[in-house]
Amino acid sequence: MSEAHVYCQKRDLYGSDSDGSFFVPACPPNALYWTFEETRFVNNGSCLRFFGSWRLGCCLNRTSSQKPVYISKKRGLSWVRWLTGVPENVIDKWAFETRFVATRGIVSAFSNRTTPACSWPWLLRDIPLVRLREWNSELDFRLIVGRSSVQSGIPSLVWFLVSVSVPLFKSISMSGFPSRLSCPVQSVVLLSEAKANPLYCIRSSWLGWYIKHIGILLVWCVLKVIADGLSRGKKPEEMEKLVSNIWKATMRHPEASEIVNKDIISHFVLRLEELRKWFISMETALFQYRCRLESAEAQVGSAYYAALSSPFLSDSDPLLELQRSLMSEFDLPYKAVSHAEFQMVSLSLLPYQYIMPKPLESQLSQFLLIISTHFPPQSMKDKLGQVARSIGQPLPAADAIVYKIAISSLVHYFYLALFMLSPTPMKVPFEEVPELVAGRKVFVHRGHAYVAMNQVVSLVSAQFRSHLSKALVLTNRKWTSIIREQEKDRLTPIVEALCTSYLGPDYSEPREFAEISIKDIDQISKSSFPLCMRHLFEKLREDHHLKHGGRMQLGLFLKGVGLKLDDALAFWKAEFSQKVGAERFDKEYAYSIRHNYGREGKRTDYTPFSCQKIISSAPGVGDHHGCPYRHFSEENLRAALGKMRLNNRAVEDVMEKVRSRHYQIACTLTFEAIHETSCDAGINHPNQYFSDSQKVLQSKNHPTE
Amino acid sequence: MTRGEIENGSEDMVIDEYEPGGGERRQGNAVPDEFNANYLKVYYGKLFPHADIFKWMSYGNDGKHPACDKSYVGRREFSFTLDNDVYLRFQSFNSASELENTIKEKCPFKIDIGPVYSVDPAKRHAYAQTGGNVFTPVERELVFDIDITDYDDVRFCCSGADVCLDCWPLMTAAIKVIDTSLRDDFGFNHILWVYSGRRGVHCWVCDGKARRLTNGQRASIAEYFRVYKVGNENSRTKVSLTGQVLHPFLVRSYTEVLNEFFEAKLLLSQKLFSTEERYEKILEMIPDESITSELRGRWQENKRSSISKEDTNVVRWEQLKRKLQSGKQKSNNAQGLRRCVEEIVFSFTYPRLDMEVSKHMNHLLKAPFCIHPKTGQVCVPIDPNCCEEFDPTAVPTLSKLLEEINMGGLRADVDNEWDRTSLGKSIRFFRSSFLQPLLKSCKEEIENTYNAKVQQSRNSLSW
Repeated sequence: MSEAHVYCQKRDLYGSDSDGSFFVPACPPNALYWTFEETRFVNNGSCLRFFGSWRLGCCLNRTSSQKPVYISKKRGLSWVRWLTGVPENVIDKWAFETRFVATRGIVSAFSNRTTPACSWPWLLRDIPLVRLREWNSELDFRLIVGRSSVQSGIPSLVWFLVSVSVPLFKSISMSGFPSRLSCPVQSVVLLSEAKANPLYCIRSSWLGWYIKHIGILLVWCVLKVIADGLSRGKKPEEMEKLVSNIWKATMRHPEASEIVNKDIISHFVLRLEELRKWFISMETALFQYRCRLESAEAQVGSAYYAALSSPFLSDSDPLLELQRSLMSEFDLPYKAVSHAEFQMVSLSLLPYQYIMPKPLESQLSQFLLIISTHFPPQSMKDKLGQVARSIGQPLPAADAIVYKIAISSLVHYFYLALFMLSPTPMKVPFEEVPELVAGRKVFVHRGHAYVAMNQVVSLVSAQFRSHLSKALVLTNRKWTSIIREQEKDRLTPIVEALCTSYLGPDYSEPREFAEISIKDIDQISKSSFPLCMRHLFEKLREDHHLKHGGRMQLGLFLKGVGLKLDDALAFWKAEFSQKVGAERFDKEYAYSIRHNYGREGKRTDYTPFSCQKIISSAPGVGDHHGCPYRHFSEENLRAALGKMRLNNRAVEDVMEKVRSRHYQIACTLTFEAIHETSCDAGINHPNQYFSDSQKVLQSKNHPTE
Repeated sequence: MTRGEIENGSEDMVIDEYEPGGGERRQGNAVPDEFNANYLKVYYGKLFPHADIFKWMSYGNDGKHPACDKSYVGRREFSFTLDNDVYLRFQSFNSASELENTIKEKCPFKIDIGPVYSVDPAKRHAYAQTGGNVFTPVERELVFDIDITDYDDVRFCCSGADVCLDCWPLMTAAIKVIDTSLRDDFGFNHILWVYSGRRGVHCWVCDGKARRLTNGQRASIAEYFRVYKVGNENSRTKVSLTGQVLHPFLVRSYTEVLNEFFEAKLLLSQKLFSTEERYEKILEMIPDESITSELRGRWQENKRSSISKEDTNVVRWEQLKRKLQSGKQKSNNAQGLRRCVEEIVFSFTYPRLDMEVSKHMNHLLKAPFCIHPKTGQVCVPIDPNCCEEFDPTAVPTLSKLLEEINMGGLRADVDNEWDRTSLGKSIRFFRSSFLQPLLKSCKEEIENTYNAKVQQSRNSLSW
């Protein structure tokens, strides 16, 4: 039964109505239908009729012994009973032949508090899981979860989403979720409950579909831009702007749910790839920027706050109620310092205590006067104020912040709100807020950091990070152990392509300037090698030896530059044999050179090292590999740059970047100084340096071409 | 480097650079003052506390409790620097006797301790082939390394690796500041301070919580301790204290340690205001031209008439302080100037950590009770509670210890040979103040996690 058929019928239903019921002439036996509109059906034996207010239709085989089923609200039947009333083999067949479309209407009906909570999930739960999985590739689910269902946090729904249904749906729109922000926290917490089914996000059918239609690579771009920006040493404000722009440019879509879609899907797809460390830190960075951006925009504002304080929280203190429920829901390890604790202040016995923001503020100015001249013993409340002042922040006007941040989106900000709403600072293990500790932005005492309300982003993002990290480990384990093999025809190539596509151009095969020969190599090394390779090259010429790290780094680079295996062997041999003798070279070193070219051992054609890899290498004594900008001492680097004939000013510029640890930018500046041209893309790979350099040189030699 | 080269290494290599002023040593005794591999053999054979080091590294996992992780200590990396700078990394040991025998056999010039890895580091290649089992550090003490060489711009008595009783108190101040913060702020309890054998101190924070910190968390602690700008020579002052008031940690460091240390000790011992060159260095840190020129004028004048009963350094420091702290300054600058006094004190006295050592789990650090090959001194623990009393020039040296053994003559109980030497005090301190409390809390921790686990499995059964 084709998809078109379903839609066609739907149109028919609209068109053929005369008396409130619908007649579908071409109805196949044993078909199950969901419709979009309020209709209801009656089974006339050979046809299917829909009647208003019901959304599921079925056509039983006319030869079936069962009576035609009428379902109506008035008669109090539920989906569950209806489905269970049908023999299993019939359901089996239906589901296989049918496309389900669960609509927003259904889900919101479910999440309406007056409806029994489990009516809808039970529908699918009645069908054995195994069977659902078998059908999966044939099904075309689209699930739209309303905000309210998330908000009400009914565990069964969420469990259901994670463990059962999500893999089945080709797309998921979660309109209430604040998209990427919410996914990890929400899903990971629940993921563990749901026996960790990391696959739930990556069913191949929709993955492939989305790669085509939406392009996960968009978010990849966003992350990549962030990484670039960070490594180029952008200032926080610049970064914020950058993120905001790139986010809008790539992710904007007229329909909010589409943005959410892109966001969620790309996030989960990216989870599969192997650059996990990079992914985690970039996602966390993005998370932080988005927290700031969204809280600044605060679009949904008052509406959400109204929702928060709506009837179901109407007891004496809605905020406390909310806080409590969230605490239990997320099982948070933190606790706000309680009023009771605060009341117990006794300077002699309990020198460290808490205070609510308001009194603190009024006491602060007085206290500051004292502290600036003399440092008296202080109670903890004073210290908290002191920290606030030391980082140059006014004490938060609690109310303003609370609402601004709490409103902008959901699950996450529930999380945030929890802290925002707490009248006192949060006491958390200091390990949870490394950023705040590093900046001395919190008061630390006996292993706990006291996090003020306006510092919560850091706290939440640390949580985000650790959850994400755990989830990635799980996903990866599952992926490598089972799924990669299962999906080798569909998903695996896509995911593997993703990892490598990140690395930018592939330098394992020389391209534009193919083939350099040994006789040119000295000259080329002076004109076009980046400093790291030049240094290795010179050391090799000088010592006639390089340690392993150096051989790898230079050898692969030369391969990328276009040195053929035979030439490479000759080149290395010429040098090494002067030190260790030709025989020993053949015995001990030739292997690794052939290995680099994929002619030995695992027979992998190794790619030349990228800057990232070189910078993060750790050269030891006697090693010459690594990134000179990072690993050289200042004097040595100056000398080396001088040898490359950089003028003093350029050297100072480079040194400044080195001091602020922007090694790739330092290298880019060197490139620019030597070639007297700008290099906007920056240097990310030694081979890129080489090819860019060659391009510049060639255009200089042949200006007319 | 091949095995042959290792063994060919000169047996009786003499390190020529010998530390002068290493305390009084009895001359004319049988043992000449030098460091060599033969002495080291005796030291490892009779004095080095192999068992204690092993006990420490086991963190209670060598016990009989069912929750003990038997593989734990075997996943710890030791690395040896042999004669000839041959470096053996990724050594691992499953028992105290294995450790002891290897050390005695290899007679390393230096023993470093690395992290606990996910798998036995000696077998990392085997594991790498099976895949899945990633070879990665999983636990490591939080360590700090402070070198006196980093203080060269604020000490005038020595430079480089030299150290004397005039500049050593800089280390004492550093120990106090860091130790107090590690205990009071971060809540760590099991902290071992060790003299590094020549020019600084090492700190090992051994609480379970500290050992399990991630690199990021380690970096955050190191950053917490950092007040120095990254090596920018051109900046006005090397310390930057921003914000309207100081962070409580800095305040405490200042009031409890640094201020007093600066005024009572460093000012006098380093004669910080005695010459023009020296006080210019301090004046550079003051952003206000009018103040600096006034002070400079006054000091240049009374240079000739140095008749005052009080020490010039103290007098000038008081003048400077009074000048900076008097409320007469223009209000917009007053805050910055008042902060200036603190910035000067911090610049001179605040601990200068080698950040990289602390930031990464896989950084190796020299084991306590090693012998420094250049000085022959033993890396003995320092008691942070009375670190003022520690005298780096009176630390037992290899040759002194051998003398003491020789004087004691042959004795039957080889176990406690060290007890009769000047090393005894250090080993006793190591045991009573560090190792025993540590192992006690390790035991408790192991029991607690075990009980929790049992409880949990019981709960899940009933469910």
